[in-house]
Amino acid sequence: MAETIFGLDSAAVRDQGSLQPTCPKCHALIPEDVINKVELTPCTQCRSALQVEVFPALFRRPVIEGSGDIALVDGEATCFYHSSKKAVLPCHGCGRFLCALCDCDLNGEHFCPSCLETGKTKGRIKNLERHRTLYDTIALHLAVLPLAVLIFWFATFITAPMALFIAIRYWNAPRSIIPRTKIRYIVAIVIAALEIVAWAIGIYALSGGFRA
Amino acid sequence: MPEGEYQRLTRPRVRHKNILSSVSTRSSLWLGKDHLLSIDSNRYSEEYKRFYFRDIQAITIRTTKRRATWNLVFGLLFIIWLGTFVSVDAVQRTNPFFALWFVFLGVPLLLNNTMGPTCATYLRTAVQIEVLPSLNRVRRARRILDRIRPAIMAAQEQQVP
Repeated sequence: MAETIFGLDSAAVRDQGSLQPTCPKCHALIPEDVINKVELTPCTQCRSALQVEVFPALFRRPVIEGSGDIALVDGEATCFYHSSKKAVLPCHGCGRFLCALCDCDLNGEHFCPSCLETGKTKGRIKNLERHRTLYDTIALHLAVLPLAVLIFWFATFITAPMALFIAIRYWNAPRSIIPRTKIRYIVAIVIAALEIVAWAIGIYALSGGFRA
Repeated sequence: MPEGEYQRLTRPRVRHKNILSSVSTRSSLWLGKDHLLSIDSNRYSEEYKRFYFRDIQAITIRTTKRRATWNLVFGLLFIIWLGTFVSVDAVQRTNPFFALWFVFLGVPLLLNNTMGPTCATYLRTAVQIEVLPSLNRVRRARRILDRIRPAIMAAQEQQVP
């Protein structure tokens, strides 16, 4: 019986030489007998100890998507972007009909290119989001850091109102994608408010308010 | 697992891009419903990279010499400390300075060795090979690999042509 890897004939896998994993250090091809072993095995060239775990996706052939069928019958639903092509499904974002060419599959959801772009830039599609600013940490550090570095305490005259502004302005802005509470905002608001009160009392006292 | 929720796989570790980023950028790994999420954070913003289980082709663990290097650095400093400790008289040895330095050098040295060999972990998809800085110890990398392997296999079972 022929040896198999993930249900494929090992000879067929060997033919796809370019698919074979390489050593990350010296880029030498990793021999088959090293793949999916539980212990570390030295690379044949650079002698780095390697453990290589390969998954079936390595041997999956790329799927060639169709370019969309031409609409043959009069009145047949056609693509919003290509009026001559048959619509295959509606966009999940805007509901426009799409042909096979315009259909962008994202985790089982289908979008048109324009919704995909909008979703990416405006953060409407969570799975496309690549960046978030952590306003809660910014507010907290603005409120706390000048106090922590004692010689910069006077900077709180500027940073405290800034921290308060950021905490209020971005209270409802999306925080980190991972679970996170609003505690940083709350602490920032409390400390910044105390700093502002302290400055107000200080200025009032210096101007002779208490003497009067 | 509810959609959009993540489970922590690793704590943030330094990502070495250049000298400045080594100070600021930290990378952590999270487990999502159908993907791994790598988060690079500089404390004020986060960059996300998602690796869907169905797209992961290979994960490679390569041992590095980082543990030996740190052992050398801390070992040399420890020898200097020991030399100073031996050369001073008994009264000066009770100085808390010596105890403090013993802790500063001894604890990292001990941790560096108890955490096991160091490694670099690479995740390969059809379009990229990504380093996962948070998997920088062989033991941890294997533990995480054992955890995600069933999810990857389950996602890819039906996909081989």
